Amino acid sequence: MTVNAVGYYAFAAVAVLSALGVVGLRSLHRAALCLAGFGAGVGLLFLVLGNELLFAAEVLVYGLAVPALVLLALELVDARGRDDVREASFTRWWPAGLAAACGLGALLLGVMAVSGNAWVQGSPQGDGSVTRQMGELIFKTYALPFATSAVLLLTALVGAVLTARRDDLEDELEAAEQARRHREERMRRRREDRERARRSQRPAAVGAGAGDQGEEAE
Amino acid sequence: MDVGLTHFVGLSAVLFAIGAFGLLSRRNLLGVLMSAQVMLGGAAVALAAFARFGYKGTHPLSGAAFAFLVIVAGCAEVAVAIALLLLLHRRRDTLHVDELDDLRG
Repeated sequence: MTVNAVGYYAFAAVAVLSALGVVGLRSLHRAALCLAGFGAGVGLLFLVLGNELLFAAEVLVYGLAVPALVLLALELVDARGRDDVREASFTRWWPAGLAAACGLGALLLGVMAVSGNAWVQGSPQGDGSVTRQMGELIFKTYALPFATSAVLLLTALVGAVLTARRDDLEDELEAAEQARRHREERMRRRREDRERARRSQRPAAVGAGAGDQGEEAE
Repeated sequence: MDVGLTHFVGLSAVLFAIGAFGLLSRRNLLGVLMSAQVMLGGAAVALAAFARFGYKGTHPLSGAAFAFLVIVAGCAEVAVAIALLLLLHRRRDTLHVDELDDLRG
C-alpha cells in the first residue's frame, strides 16, 4: 500500500509554497491567487492518495469557488490605499500569471511523464471506484453527519441572506427617520417664518417706532 | 523513498501551522479568513491520509468521508463570513482587526 513518491513531493511543495504565499504576501489579491494554488495542490495530493471524489471537491471548492469569492469581496471592499489590501492593480502582473500557469503545466506534464500515469496505485479495497464506496459510506453509515452538514449549509444560506436583508431594513428605517426629522424641521421653519411675518405686520399697522422695538425685542 | 502515513501527517502539521501563523499574524479580516482555510486544508489532508493508511476494523474510507464534510463546512464558513465582512465594511469602513476592538475588555 504505497503512494507515488514523486507526486507526493511535487504537490506537497506546491501546497506548502502556496500556503506560505497565502499567509505571507502583503497584497490580498495575490494571497487569494495563492489560495487557488493551495486548493489545487491539496486536491492533487488527494489524487495521489487515490481519492478522486475529494480531488474534485477540493479543486472545485478551494481551487475555484473560495478564491473567486474572496477576489469578489476584495473588489467590493475596494480599500484603496490600505497597505495590506491593495498595492497595485494585479492585472499588471499578467505575464507573471502566464509564466506561473506555463510552469505549473510543465510540472504537471513532467510528473505525468515520470510516473507514467500511475498516480493512483490501487484503491483501498481494491474493487469498485472510490467515489461509489464513498457515496455508500456517506449515505448509509454517515447519513446523520451528512444531513447535519446539509442543515449547516442551509443555515449558512439563510444567515447570509438575513444578514444582508436586515441591513437594508435598518437603512430604510434610518432614511425614514431622517425624512421625518427633515419634515419637522421644515414645518418648524415655516411656522417661525409665519410668526415673524405676523409680528412685522402688526407693528407696521401700529407705528414705525413700535415696529423697531418689536424687532429689537425679537 | 517510500511515502507513508508519516509523510502525510507531517505535511498536514506543516500546513496547519502555516495557517495558524497566518490566522494570528494577518491584520486584515479577509487574510484571517484565508489563513483559516489553509488550516482546514491541512486537516483534510490528514483525514484523507488516515483513510488511505487506516487501521483494520474501521471502514477504509471513514477518514475520507470526514474530509468531505470538512470541505463542506469550510465552504459554508466562507459564504457566511464574506457576507458578514462586507456588512462590517459597510458599517465601519474598515476590515482591520486592530480597529475592530469593541469587545476588548
